[in-house]
Amino acid sequence: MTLFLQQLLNGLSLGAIYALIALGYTMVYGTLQLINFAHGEVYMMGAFAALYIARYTGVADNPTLPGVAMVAVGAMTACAILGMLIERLAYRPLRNASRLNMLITAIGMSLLLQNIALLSFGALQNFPSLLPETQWKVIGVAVRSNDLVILGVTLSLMVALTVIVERTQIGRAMRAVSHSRDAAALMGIPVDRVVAFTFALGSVLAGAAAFLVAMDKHSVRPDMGMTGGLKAFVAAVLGGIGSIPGAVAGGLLLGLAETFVSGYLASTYRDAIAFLLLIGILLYRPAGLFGKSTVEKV
Amino acid sequence: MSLLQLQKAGIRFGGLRAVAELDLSLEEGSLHGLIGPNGAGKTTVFNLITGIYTPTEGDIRFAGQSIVGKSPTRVAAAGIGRTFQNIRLFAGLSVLDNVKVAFDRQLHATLFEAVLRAPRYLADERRVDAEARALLETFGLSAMADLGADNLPYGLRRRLEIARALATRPKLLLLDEPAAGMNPSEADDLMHLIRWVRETFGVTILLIEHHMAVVMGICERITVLDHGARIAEGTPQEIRKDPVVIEAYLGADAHAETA
Amino acid sequence: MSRGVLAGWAVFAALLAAVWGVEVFAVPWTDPYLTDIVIRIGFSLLAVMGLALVLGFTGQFSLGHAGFMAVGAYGSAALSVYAGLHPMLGVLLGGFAAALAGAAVGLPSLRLSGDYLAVVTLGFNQIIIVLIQNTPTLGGAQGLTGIPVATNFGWTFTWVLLGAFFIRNLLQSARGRVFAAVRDNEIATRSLGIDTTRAKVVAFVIGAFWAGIAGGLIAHYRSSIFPSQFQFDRSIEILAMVVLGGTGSLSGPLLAAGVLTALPELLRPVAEYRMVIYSLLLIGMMIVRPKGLLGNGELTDLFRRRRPAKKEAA
Repeated sequence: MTLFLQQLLNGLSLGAIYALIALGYTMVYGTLQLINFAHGEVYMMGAFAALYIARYTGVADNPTLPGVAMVAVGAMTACAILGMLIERLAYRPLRNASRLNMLITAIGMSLLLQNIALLSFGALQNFPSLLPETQWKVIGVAVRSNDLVILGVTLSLMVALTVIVERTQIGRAMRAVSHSRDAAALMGIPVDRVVAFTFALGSVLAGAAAFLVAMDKHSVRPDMGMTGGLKAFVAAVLGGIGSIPGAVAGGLLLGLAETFVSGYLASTYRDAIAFLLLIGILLYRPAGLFGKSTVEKV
Repeated sequence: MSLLQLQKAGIRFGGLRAVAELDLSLEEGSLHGLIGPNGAGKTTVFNLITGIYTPTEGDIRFAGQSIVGKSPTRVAAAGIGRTFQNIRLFAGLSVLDNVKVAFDRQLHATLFEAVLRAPRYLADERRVDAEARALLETFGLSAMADLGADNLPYGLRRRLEIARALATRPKLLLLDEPAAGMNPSEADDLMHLIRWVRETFGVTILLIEHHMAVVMGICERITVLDHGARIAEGTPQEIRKDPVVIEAYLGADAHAETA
Repeated sequence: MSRGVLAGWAVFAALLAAVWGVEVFAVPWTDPYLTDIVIRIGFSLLAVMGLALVLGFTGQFSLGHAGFMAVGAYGSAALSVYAGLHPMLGVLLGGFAAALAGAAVGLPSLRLSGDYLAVVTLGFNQIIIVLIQNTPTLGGAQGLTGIPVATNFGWTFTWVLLGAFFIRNLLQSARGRVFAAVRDNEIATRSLGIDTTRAKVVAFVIGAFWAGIAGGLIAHYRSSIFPSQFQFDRSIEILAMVVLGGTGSLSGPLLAAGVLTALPELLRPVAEYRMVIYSLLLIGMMIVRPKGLLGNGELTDLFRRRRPAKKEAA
């Protein structure tokens, strides 16, 4: 029983990260019908941004709470800027191009960023310990302080996101654009700005996830965007791409599935789980858990 | 004998009832019009008939058999052809090839015979080529056979789409706003074309149209839809005078020529 | 048999003879470095022609092509190593194995819309790699060794010729018209009573077959193969060749395959930047010339000065 609860906690912690990244994918897809392959790389860059900010500001050597918060915010800001830049330079010129073209551009962007990171940052770097890490035993389950931080930060960000999407004007605009870009434009909504904001929002969440992962795993790698990003995308599709609650559900589901399979079966098949789950869901519920199938106008 | 029968057919999209309890009966060889204000559900009816949507209530029978739940491919194979509101041609293919594709189901040779250019494949191709060219000839499109379908002028694109649909020798032809975007003279030509198609190919035609001159000019019977339900049915003369129909079109001149 | 068909067979026979002529008389006197590049171009050609059919002509977003190469590679290698089969027979059977994998992946997924198919094929690529890495009999992550070497210029280009003629004839046939129709307007194609899912699966399976052949030849080239050779990177490289060469063209992607395989050799000094250059090329091409270098046309169009929009069925 304690093993089960342990896996549950680990799964939720992992799932929270997937959810944060998945939200970026789902929001961009909801708005532009584009799979932003480069999102994983934005996440990766966030981790490196956190690393270099921590180093250059001395927080790495002397971690204080405000300092750590600054690193986190710095990473999130860097991601927001990068996300908006990618949208402006690579995606906006192709706004009216075919789906295949946009997909290829996104893949190209992803590759570009990955390889630039590889060339500039090297293969793997250590991330310093920024927060005191302890562990408590609660009914036999090892609860790490990192898990609490991850879950706490994720929860707060989700609440903030919900408020933004449901209660603010820009959130309303986002929802309008994802329903129909043309109708929104006709109603006077500045589509370009809303799209940029969507990218920024998704990237901020990815930056937060990157910071949390770097801080927890103590390492950053240029290919972390590839694996993490892809899985988070799978999570978004699982939950129904375009649906915000879907991304959260999908992320948590994936995190739990991976953890339980690793724990009870073999950990070597961990990476395959995501895709097996995906193929399974797509076959029986093509729109994902929360998704609605869009019918092509005939 | 009714070729096509809709019996209390309807479909819901979530809370919206796009088409409700529709009764429609088409006699073989007839030319029937389907009209109504924008959003009345006309194209939805076409999509129901062709299997793109599955009705949530009622039945649709074609040549005596229910076709509810059949995929668009199966419905088309059963003998129902259609054209689309936004003309759907194969942009990357030539005019001739657009029509040749329609003959695909009538081919005998296997894929391997095709790749090896075996005699049976070559015979198939000769036959398809002859029949496709003959069809283009009757539609007056021979001169443009090798032109990219994308390069056809607008009026001829519609004609090509109709020719292509007829290549499959359908018993029922659904035309979705064929006169869209046409000026009076083009619409006139279209009217002659549709009548001629019905005579020459012996096909039953169901037509969605906003262009009142076309509808009133060639349809034998007209069904009027509004908000997914049938509000009137009858001959053009009856429909023209029907107060319910005129009211449904309130705000739009029922005799307007613009589509 | 008509004259055109006879001529076609004659050309094929002549080219085949030329290939083996080169193998016997030219290769032994050529710098092995050069031969190596040419043979590796051959591998790319086989992989690319299959993807050109699936992606370019039928419009399916297949992103895991290297996965099918892996099936062919490991399938044929296993047959050679454990069953002692003649390598080329193994290559053929490896192709069929890849075709089967293509059917297994395609049948459930080709009903899905483009974006979802992309992710599923990507996933398939990943899963195959993970499976191979976890199978000791296939050598795992350390690779499978001891594969008999049998791939040379002659065999490689025999397969290339077979593939090229097969696919070219297919594309110019009635079936090719249907593929293009599916790509251009699937809904309209279905309204003509044509089973579009079946057409897509057929294209997919054929594409997978030729990828499998490429994989089989790779396996028998240097006596060992590693899962890392068939990862997503490789799929992207092949994708780039198709996209840059022209979606809707066969000779375009083949040309791109040749250039992009040879290029890294010529750009040895900037080898590090290879992937960066690829990605910039991809992005740039999409913005400037979305249909690729040759778009819908073929190399032969340049010689005959025919408008690429016209397509003649053979």
